[in-house]
Amino acid sequence: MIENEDNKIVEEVSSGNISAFGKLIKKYQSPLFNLAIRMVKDYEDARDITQNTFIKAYEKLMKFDKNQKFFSWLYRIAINESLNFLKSKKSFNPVDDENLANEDNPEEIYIKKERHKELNDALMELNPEYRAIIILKHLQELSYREISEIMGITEDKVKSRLFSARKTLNETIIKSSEIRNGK
Amino acid sequence: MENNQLTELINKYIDNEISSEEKTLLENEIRTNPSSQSLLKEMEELKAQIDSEIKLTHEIDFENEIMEKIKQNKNTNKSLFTKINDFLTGFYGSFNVKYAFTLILGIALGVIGLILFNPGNSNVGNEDVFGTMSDISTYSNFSRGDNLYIDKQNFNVDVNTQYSPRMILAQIDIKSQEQLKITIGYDNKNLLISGLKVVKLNEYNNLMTGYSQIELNNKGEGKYLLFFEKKIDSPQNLSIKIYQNSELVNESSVRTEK
Repeated sequence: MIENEDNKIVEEVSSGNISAFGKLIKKYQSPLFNLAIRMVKDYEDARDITQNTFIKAYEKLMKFDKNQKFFSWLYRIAINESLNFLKSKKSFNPVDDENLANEDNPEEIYIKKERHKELNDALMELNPEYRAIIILKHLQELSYREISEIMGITEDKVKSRLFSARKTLNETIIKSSEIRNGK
Repeated sequence: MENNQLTELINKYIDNEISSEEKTLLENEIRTNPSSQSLLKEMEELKAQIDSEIKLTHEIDFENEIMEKIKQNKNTNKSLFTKINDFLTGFYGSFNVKYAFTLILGIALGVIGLILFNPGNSNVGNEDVFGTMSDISTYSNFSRGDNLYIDKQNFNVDVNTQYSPRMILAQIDIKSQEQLKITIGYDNKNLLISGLKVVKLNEYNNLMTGYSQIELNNKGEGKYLLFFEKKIDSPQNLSIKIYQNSELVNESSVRTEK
């Protein structure tokens, strides 16, 4: 149903109604931005990636195969934009998550910030393609099939990469918490 | 149980994609094998941690900004030929109507050409627009303006300008190993953009206009032509800012007339 709605909007845009593209931006801008910020960890870069994704999607809309799911196609553009960006960039500017500042207890704030930092640091240490799979699975809650469509790989590869990514992530977190605790 | 099978079952289990047969298999495995049990526990804990941490999300609204850029790109990227072709194919699908219209359009352009040839006319004349559209050195009746050359470790940017009493042309040649953003600021009280062209285009390169500013993004080799119409005949400054990884790495300006 959702896919049909997207495809209807795509048809509207293809027949010359540019403004209809705004509906797709409204619907997907936040998920794509959240995907991008987890990939590149910088607000401004994530903003550029999100904007470029929509601009590229618009420019390539005539080539969009209507039998495909629009959101898979759009996510694939966003992932490619993020991966290309990461290839061209060597260092990252950390972003502080202001959402964490809402706790009352200072100890809880500290523990949560530490855990948050550990996970984010470990995520940023992952190979970008592994990171993309973790984000698509855990943040976007997509199925193996959906991830395989977006990444252009088989479902089996999604599963094996997801497992390797989780294992590496876990090992990195354990290592960094050991260092933090002075072990 | 083989390692591959175990990892697949654990994946499926923690992602809620496991079938009842597979679940039984996994339960048997963890009952008999403590290392499989501890691996499953590790993965479950990790999933819980990722789920609780990663789901902090940002709500953003870039819709107007993106739509504005799309509209600008649409106007910038279309060549005159494409625009005429779109017009003809879009509204004049029928063969006879299309060619009849082309004839009328040809006559109209001829008349406009004659008007522009009139030396007393204040509009932009033929000497202002003759050239190959791929290099400003091919344009006749222009004097050379100032040149700016910035040579850094990862990029070099060469800005050449030319001017006539009514126009300013700027050519920007870039070689960059990494993505560069360059903004070209101008005084919109004195200058009007009459054309922009990306001569060397690749997937990283684009050119956009904003309020009294042109923005281009470049990686690799890029060549861009900017055409300005002067509202008043006086030397103008173009301010050039170069950003690498969102950081301003160079700021300079070029005076368009010597």
